[in-house]
Amino acid sequence: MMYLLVAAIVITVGTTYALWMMEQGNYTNVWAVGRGAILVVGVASCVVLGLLHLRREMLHDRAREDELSKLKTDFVSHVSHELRTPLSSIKAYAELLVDGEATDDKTRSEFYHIIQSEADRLSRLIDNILNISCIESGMTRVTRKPVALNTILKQVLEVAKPSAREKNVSLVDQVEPVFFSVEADRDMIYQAALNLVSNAIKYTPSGGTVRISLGAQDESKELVVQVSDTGVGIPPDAMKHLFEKFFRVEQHKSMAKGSGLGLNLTRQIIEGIHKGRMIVKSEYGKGSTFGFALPIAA
Amino acid sequence: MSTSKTILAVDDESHILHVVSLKLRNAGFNVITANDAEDAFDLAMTSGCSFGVGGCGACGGATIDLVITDFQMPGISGLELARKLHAEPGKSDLPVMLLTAHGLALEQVDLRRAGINVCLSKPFSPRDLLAKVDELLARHKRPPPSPKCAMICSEEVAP
Repeated sequence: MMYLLVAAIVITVGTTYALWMMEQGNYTNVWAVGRGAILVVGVASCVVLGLLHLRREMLHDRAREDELSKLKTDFVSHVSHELRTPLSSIKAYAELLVDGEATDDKTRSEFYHIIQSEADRLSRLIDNILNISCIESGMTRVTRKPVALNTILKQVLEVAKPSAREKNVSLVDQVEPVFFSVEADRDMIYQAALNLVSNAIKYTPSGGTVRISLGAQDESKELVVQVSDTGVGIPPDAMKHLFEKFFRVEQHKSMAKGSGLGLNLTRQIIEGIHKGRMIVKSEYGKGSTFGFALPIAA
Repeated sequence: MSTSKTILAVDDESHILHVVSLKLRNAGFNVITANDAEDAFDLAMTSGCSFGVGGCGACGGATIDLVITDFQMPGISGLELARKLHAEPGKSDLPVMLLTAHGLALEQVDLRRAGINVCLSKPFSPRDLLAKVDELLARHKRPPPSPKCAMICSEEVAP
């Protein structure tokens, strides 16, 4: 926009100068009037263009501010909704227990378990929200060290085993012994890998398989972790929203509990902090592969 | 025919539905539940035809006296459900209570327009819920059976 302003000034000055030159050549008064008129038009257009430019910049800033503030409000309203939901269950079931409305042992035991699992859900949610907020505000302390991904993945497999067994999903270990390491924050990579594996287990029906693999790729420039499942897959129209905060695939909401923060956090860890890249492939109804590639330490 | 009142509870969180129905059943109400607003609407539309008509298979069950609904659910919202129900003949004054984790974000005007009588914010106390239900039912008389439903029933028994 600035160049238009400059152009207008140049044209005005140029024309005025040209007319002045002509006047020197002893022309009539007409030229003096013309010169004055052009000068006025030139100055006026400079002022108008300048004002338009200013106004546009202000509108642009306003729109950006509005957008940011809407994002913040949406986030707060989402967080508040997501926190209130498990807390509602905890509060309501506890009150029923206190009031003696659960009349037999079976019901009471069921209530205790609901309270416990909803409290777990609440604390996972708080962890995720805090982790994301810390990463976004640059407050996360990242400890980069050479990390062997084999070891981390073996630990993830170990931790995920019970939930897979409970759902009758077989966990297949295809982690090859690679000798390269990556320069990374151990705990964060563990969190990212665990998120992908537990998602795969969550969205794979009983009898299915989840495979975890590790290998070097791209002429040994990066290490690739992949988690493939024979699960429900992702509908094509949901693919572009997968990493949005609080996004959950409508069709699969009833399959498993979740806040819709896990993948966002995983991507922030992999792409934002470790300069790696996320891998997503999915065939709706057949299964998905989620993974990440990290540059091998020199 | 039971004289106890029937409440339709709608929430996509099964734990909430469970706890609400247990509290209300313990207090002597009939409770029917739905996981989303579409199901709830269908349930509300097919209920209330058991008045003296034998073998009316399509629309069994008691008249719904009160609806307790969540706000944010997959598909249509609790507000939309209230609006749709109130637009049906014979259901214009069906009391609707909103049970929501969005309490502060909802505008009073929107609630009034949708005909929401009471809005209870999550986390809620089941005791408060019961008190509000009693209060609301005392204020409202049982609505007459919906004419649309009655028509379906009489058509079915006609020779």
